[in-house]
Parts: sequence; C-alpha cells; structure tokens
Amino acid sequence: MTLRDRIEQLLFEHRKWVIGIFIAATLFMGYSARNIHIDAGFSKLLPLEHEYMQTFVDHREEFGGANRILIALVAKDGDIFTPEFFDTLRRSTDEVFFIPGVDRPRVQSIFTPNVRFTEVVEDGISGGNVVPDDYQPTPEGLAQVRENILKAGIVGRLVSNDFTGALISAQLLEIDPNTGEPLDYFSVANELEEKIRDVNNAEGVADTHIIGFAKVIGDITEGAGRVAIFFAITLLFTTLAVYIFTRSFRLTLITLSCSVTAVVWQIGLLTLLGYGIDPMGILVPFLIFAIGVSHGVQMVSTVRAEVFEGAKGQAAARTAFRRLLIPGGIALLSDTIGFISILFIKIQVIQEMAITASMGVAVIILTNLILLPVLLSYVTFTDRYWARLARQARSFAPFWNTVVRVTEPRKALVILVVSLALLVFGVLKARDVAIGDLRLGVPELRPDSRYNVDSRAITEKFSIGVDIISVIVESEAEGCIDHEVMSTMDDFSWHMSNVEGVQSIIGLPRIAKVINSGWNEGSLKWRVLPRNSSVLTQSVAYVPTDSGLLNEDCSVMPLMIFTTDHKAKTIERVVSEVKQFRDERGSEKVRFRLATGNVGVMAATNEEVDANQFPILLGVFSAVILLCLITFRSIRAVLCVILPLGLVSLLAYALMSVLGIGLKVSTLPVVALGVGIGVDYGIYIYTRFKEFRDGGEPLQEAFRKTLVITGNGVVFTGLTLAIGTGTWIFSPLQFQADMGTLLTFMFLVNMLGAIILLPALAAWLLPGESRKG
Amino acid sequence: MIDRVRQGGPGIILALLLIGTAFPLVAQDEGDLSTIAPLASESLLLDGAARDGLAVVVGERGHVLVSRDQGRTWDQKQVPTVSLLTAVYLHDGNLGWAVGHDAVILRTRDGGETWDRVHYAPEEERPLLDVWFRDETNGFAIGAYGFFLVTEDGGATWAPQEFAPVEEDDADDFYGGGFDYHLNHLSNPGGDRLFIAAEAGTVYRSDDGGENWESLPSPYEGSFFGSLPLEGDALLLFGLRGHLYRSDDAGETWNLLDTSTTAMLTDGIRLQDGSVVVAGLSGTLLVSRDGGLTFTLIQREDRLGISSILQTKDGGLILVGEGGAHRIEEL
Repeated sequence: MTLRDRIEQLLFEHRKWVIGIFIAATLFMGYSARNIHIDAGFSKLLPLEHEYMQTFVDHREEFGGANRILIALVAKDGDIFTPEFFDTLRRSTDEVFFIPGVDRPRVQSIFTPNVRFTEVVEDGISGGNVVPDDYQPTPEGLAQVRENILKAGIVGRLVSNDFTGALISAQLLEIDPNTGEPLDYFSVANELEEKIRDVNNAEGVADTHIIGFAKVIGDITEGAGRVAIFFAITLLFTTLAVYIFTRSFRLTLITLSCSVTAVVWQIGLLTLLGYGIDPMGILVPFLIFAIGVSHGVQMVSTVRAEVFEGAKGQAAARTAFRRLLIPGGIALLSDTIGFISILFIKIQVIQEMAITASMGVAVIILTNLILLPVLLSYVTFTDRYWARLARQARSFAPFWNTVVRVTEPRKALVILVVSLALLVFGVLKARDVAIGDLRLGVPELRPDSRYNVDSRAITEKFSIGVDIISVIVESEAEGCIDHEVMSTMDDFSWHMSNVEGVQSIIGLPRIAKVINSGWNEGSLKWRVLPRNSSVLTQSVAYVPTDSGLLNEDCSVMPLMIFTTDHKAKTIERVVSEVKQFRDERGSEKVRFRLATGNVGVMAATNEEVDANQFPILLGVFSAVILLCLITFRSIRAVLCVILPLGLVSLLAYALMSVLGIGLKVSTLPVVALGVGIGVDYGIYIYTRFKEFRDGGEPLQEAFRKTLVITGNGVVFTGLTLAIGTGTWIFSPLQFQADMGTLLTFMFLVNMLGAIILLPALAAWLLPGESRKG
Repeated sequence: MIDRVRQGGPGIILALLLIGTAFPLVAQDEGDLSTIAPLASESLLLDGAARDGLAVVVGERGHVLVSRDQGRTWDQKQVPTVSLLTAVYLHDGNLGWAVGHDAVILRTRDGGETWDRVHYAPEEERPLLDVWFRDETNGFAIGAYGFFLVTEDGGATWAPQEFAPVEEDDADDFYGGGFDYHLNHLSNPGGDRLFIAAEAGTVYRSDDGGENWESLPSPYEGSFFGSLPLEGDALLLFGLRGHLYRSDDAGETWNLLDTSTTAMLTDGIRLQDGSVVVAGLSGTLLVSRDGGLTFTLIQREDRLGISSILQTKDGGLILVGEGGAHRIEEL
C-alpha cells in the first residue's frame, strides 16, 4: 500500500471528521481574520539593504528623508494678496501643525517664523518675518508682505511664480514623537483631506492641492478599499463561469466554498503572523481565490469523468483524489515556487507578499486536493444532469476535434513556425523593456488621479519639483567652513546642473555664496565661497539646521537634486553622473553618498529590480523544470511543457514594452507568478495525455481524449484566472491595472500555449509519434 | 620682486620662478582649467564688453564666453582659472583683459579665443572688481580694500600701487585713515579724467590719467557700484538701494534722482539712440529718454539681477547677470 493509498484511506474513511476539522479551522481563521487591517509604511517600500538606502537609514533622523507633504492653496480669483486668502492660508498652516506626525519646527509657509527675509541696508543687513507680527489685513499690510516675499527669495518655493498660490511644506516623522507609535499614514491623509481640503472647499476662497508620501498612501489605501467591489464582481463572474462549466448548483457551491475557505485561511494566517494587508499586496487574496477555483474545476471534471466511466459512490471521488494528488500537488508547488522566488527582491512589502501568497497556495493544497474531493464524494448525479452534460460535450466536440488536428505533422509545423515568428518578435520587443517607471506623476496611481492632477498643478505653479534625489555629502566636523569641501560640493552642484534631466539643485554652497554676497551689500560680484574659513563661517552660521542643508556640526550636508521626471533613463543618467563625479573628485574629506529622496528610492528600487530579474526568472524556470523532470522523467516531455511557457514569458515582456509598462517592483513578481501558475495547464494536460499514451492510445487519439476531459478544464481555468485578474485592469490604482493586464495576458496565452503549442511540439518531439498519428 | 617683473623679458621668467617657489600653491593651480559646460551661458555672469563685432562675457567658475553674432549665441572658451571673474575690458577686436577673485587677471590677444593667466594671488584674499586700459599697454585693475594694480606692458606684468587719494577737507575719516574701501568701478569720460565708484559713499576722480586721485564730496553713506559719464561734465553715480545721483560739474555737487526702486543699481550705458539706461538687481532697468535727467522704471518679469548691460553694433542689448547673458531686441 503506497503512502498515497494510506492517505486516501485515512481521509475517505473519516469524511465527517475531515469536514469537521476544516469547519473548525475555518471558523478559527475567520475569527482571527476579523482583525485584518490595512498596513502601509514608508520603510516597507524601500530596498533597505541597497547601498543607497543605507545612506537613507544613516541620515533619516537628521534629514527626514523623503517624507514630505506639500499643500498648495491657489486663489480662486486673482492673486494671493487678499485678506480672505491670507486667513485661509494662516488657518491651514495652523492646522498642519496639529496633523499627527508633523515635525513642527520644519513646517514652512509665509506665516511660519522660520521663513524670513533679509535685505541689505546702508548699515548692514536687516531682516524679519515675511508676515510681520503687526500685520494688518489692509492694502498697505498686504503690500508690505508682497515686498517681504520678494526680499525673502521664496517666489517659486512658498509663493507661486505668478503670485496666485502659496505653499505649506511639512516633514513627517515615521514614529509619532508624542505617542511613540508608528505613524498611521491613512489617518494623516484623512486629516489632510478633512481639516484642510474640505474646509477650504467649503470656504471657497482657494483651491487646495495636496501631495506627499502620506497622501499617496492614503489614496492607495482608499483605492485598495474599493477592492471589495472588484472582489464582488470577480465572485459573481466566477460563480457564473463555474455554473456554466459544472451545470450544477451544488458543484458550483462546493467548488467556490473550498476556494473561499482558502482565502479565509490565508487572511487568518496573515493576521496570526502579525501582518496586515499592504495595499501593494491586496491582490493576493484574488490570486488565491482564482488559483483555488481553477484547481477545483480540474478536480470536479476528473470526478465527473470517473462517474461517467462507471465509478459508483465514493469511488469516483477517491480515484480523482489519487489521480490529481501528484499533478495538482506539483502544479501548486510550482505556484508556490513562483511566489517564493520573489523573495529575491529585498523589499519588505514584496517579501510579505511572497510569504503570504505562498502560504495561501499551500492552503489550496489542503482545501482543493483534500477537502474538495471529500465533499465531492457526497455528490450524486442524476440522469438529467448527465443528459445536460452530454449535450454540452456534444456541442464542444467539434471544437476539440479541430484543435486536436494541430498534432498532424504539417499543421504542427505551421504552429511551430508561427511560434518561432512570435519568438523572434518577442526577442526584438522584449529588449526594449525599461526598468522602472515610464509615466509622469506617482506611478502607483493613475495619471488622471486627483493626486497626479494636484502634483501637476503644483509643479506648474511653483519652481519646485516633486522628484528629488538627494546626494549626502559626509565630511569631517565643521566641513562646511572648509573651502576645499565646500568648493568641491559647489563644483558638484554645477556639474549636476548641466546634466540633462536635472531641473535645479539646492545645497549649502549656493546658499553660502548668496549669504557671502549679502555680507558684501548684496553685490553679485561677491557671490563666492570665501577661502578664509572665518569669513566662510560668517556665511554658513546663519543657515539653520532645520533648512535640511546641514546637520548640527555641519559634517553632513545633503545636496538636493530636483529632476524633471523620474523616468528610468533620467534616473540612470543622474546616478551615473553622480558616480562619475564621486570617482573623480570625491575624497576621504568629501564623501558623496547616494541617495535619498523619492528618486533616490526609485534609483535603488530600479537597481534592485534590474539585479534580480534574471535570478528570479532563472530560479522559477529551474524549479519548474526540475519539478517536471521529476514528474515526467523525460527531457522531451519537459521541453513540451516548458517551451510554450518560455515563449509566453517572453511575449509578456514584449507586451510590457508595447504598452509602456516598466519592469518594476509591481510587475517583476507578475512575470514570476505567471510562470508558476502558467505551468499548471501544461502539467494537467501532459499528465492525462501520458496516461492515455501509457494505455496504448496513438498520439492523436490520446490528445483528443485528453482535450475532451482536461482541455475543457484548462480552457475554463484560463478563463477563471483571467476573470479574477482582468477586473484589476479597472482598478483606480495604476500598479494594480498593470499587474492585472499582465496576469490576464499570461493566463490566457499560457492556456492557448498548453492546448495548441504543447500538442504541436509533442507531435514533433516525442519519438516516432508523428508517424503513428 | 615686482620691480623685476616690470623689466620684462628674462625678468618675467625669473619672477614667475620666484613666485612659483614662494607660493607653491599658486604653481599647482596653474593647471586649474575652467570646465566647458552646456549651461555656461546661463550661469552667473558679471560683466561683458563688446567691440568690433566681438562680445565677451565673464562670470563664475572662470566662465568666459565669446559671441561673434551680436550676442545671439555664445561659445565658452576654456581659460586657466576657475575663479569668479568680475570684469572684462576689450581694447579692440583682439586684445582684452578679464579680472576676478583670487586677484586673477587673464589676457587674450586673439579676440577671446585663448586666454593666459598673467596674475594670480589667492593669498591676497581680495578680489579684483574692475579693469580698464588707457591704450594697449597701460592699464589699471582695481578691487577690494583699496586694491590697485598697474601695468605698463600690456598686462604681462602687474604691480600694486598705493591708492592714496587726496582727502576732501571735511571728510569724515571713519575708518581711521586707511584707504581700504572696495574700489568697485572705474569709468572714463574720455581724455585723462577717470572716476572710481567705491564703498561706503566714496567716489574718486583723477584728472591726470590715474596718477593722482582726489576724493569727491559724497551725497550718500551707502556704497556706489558704478558711474556713467554723460555729455561734458555731466555724470551719473549709482549704488545701494536704488540710489541714483547726477552731477553736472564732474562730481563736485550732486542731485538725487527719483528711481522708484530700492534695488541695488549696478551698471549704466548710453545707447546709440542717446537714451540712458541704468540696470540693477531684481530685474531693474531705469530708462531715460532726456539725456539722464529723469528715469522711468522697467521691472523685468524674471526679477533676475542684472550686473552689466551692453549694446552691440546692430543695436541689440545684452543683459548680463544672474540668468547669464541674454540678448533683448528692445527695452
């Protein structure tokens, strides 16, 4: 008695126990899943082990990194110099101070005391707050503020270039200093909406535009929340599809409840392990559900085939269990490997996704290969049901008879030539796939989302960019009064300013030069870094640490490079120029370190994705090849299964390049998953085909029978998975739409590959087959 | 040492060797060539000169740019300095000099194509702020803290000269007798007369080609950054916080003109059509159509500081300053 027989006996002789245990476990998992929460964090999105992110971690405390919010108020009528606009701006500024996590000393607007103007007068330099303490909302008072704004040099930064808008800037702390709790970005985003945008909209004086990481997370979370609708739609369509396939209400219910059980377990396990659902990972339950249904369908169709062949009562379910335990197990194992291979990417959110998804797939092994056959063993089929089914089979028969002709040598050759042409096309196109993001705006959100509209509005009105890569210069203590250090930094700034894609650079040397000129009556002819360090001291002493341009002992000084966009090519060019300058001019005294800022994060992420794309694909493919080798023990068989898979992966790359989707954190896993899940079809088809061949059927007949029994299931599986992922294409979140597009493509085309290319390959590859056919 | 330099010929070589041993740092910097950068024409540029179809502008990081199409396009030249250049003077279409921080002086003899470094003294820690040549051999370079250099060999060698103007009787010698004011700008109405606009409300005049200087009565305690000689003894003097004065007696008495601006005024020019323009920081242009009696303010949208304004042969204007060098067709 084999192990498989023992398991079968154990399960089917204690069916009530099995069902009882599953019900109990599901109740428990469901109970713990009630605490599921959306869990978003900034650090989770960073490839923390990457060189650039080490810089970020080293200096996060002092410089806040990339976590800024900008709120722009734009006057509905005319310019900002009206008492009403000033009231709105002052109130909004005050509100910002009370948003949780805001680093209060770093809040800036024309109303905050850290924004000052200086001017040269006959006896030196005078200065004051831009909005003076004795500001009166009179024409004179407003005219005074206008003057001060000009003197303070904040046009383009805190006041828009055309004076129709003003900006409030704030830094967020990851850990709320008041409570010691990690910051809840979603509530920050909510408060920004409620206390600022909603109030301002009600007032009607100014339009509000808000951008920043907290808002991105807020919008992503909100978009992810709409996932419930997608889930409902998916559930509805899948139910319909399963019903059409099974022609039985009971079978539909059983299949779906097994898959729902898998999802409940997966979410329950997630909570038990202390994870929340990250907006990036919210699609995992969909995948689990879809994978569950597709494997469930295989089980149903096998059971049905057994009954049709004459098996009675439990026997059909037991045979189906025995038949599918190995191929089903292998298929699910390869799915799991697909998910686990993503662990190569050292980004917490992706790793969480890999772990939770592979847990989910492991759960499907239990629910679909154990629970499902046990439940199916209770189902009895009426004659009317068989009649219905027979009608359906008859209507499909011509289709399969056509399909099976691909194994005729000449037709097979046509298929192979077409595939070869697709391969060449794929290779040509796939080379154009860009790493990273290709679109403007925040890549996670749709280009026309409110956030990206806000972002465009702000970059149009103000001279500040939203794309920043900060290079951090580490020196000795008091490095900022060393002429050599400062002039090297200054040369760096100028070098980078000349790089295509760099908009502007803010750093201490530039400010020091302006202040030095200020000490010399504002004359442009003194806009230099003094060689004398005591004179240089005068120029930097007035730059506060909250400017973010230097630390307490000025041994660390960031240079903020604003880029025109965050397209992969731009980032690559900027990073390589920084490295080139670092190699030529950097020294122990002036260490240039890449990089913080949102573009710095993207640079690190892009490099991480680039470095891992081949290890991941190599890992997935070798694992899948190994599994197939173990199962089929034939290299030719492995080629039949793997070649279509390889072609489809290549075409997925080609599709990305055609659609302008970049290879990034959200799309690289898809390619791996697509391979892992795509191989399922091949495994099911080839296993059944082999059984018929081993039973002595000639090739074409073996394929005909395989397709009639398994083919229906495979086509159906492809459609179910495509429905499950296809709904994402309509997601408000761009990365979900991209993932949905790619997964749908991979599922459908892999399905076609398994029923058309696989048999054609078999006709040519398997020894002597073509003659027999 | 400097005396020997003046002898020229072998003396120069000896002097250079001596300077080389005395200031090894200086010798090392000999190789500091400016970098050709795509955006050089938009960098901080401080002064320009146009003569005989040639226009030259100079500024930060040793940027020297040459235009031969009346300022429409600029061609950066590599020069042996990276210091901030503050002023340039063209004698003709070939010969010119530029000065700047670290007391650097550059000379071209081929219309700006190549430049030699003829003076460099970073240890002085004072910049040169203006340069002027009476003819092709004799010239002055002036700068901070009363810095005054003289050349008698076309700029090959330079010697410091004490700047000791005859003090006006009632001068309030606030800084205790040292003539250490920043000498900001030198102008020549023609002939042997010269004016220097200087720091803290001082203005000097020489009537003998720069041998002797006298301090003129000052109408203002703020610094002057330039002067513009007009017809006869008429003269405009301008500086801090929008202060613009006119004298009709070569600087003996002054009248304050209304400018409607508090921006620093930096440079003035008489245009081909006889109108007078004074430029300044924050995109300030003051225009007079009555020979410099009254001015109207033109506020440029970009508000970028203008350091110098020049006119090309074809009547175009070149604004030089924070935004680089840009030609405008009209005011």
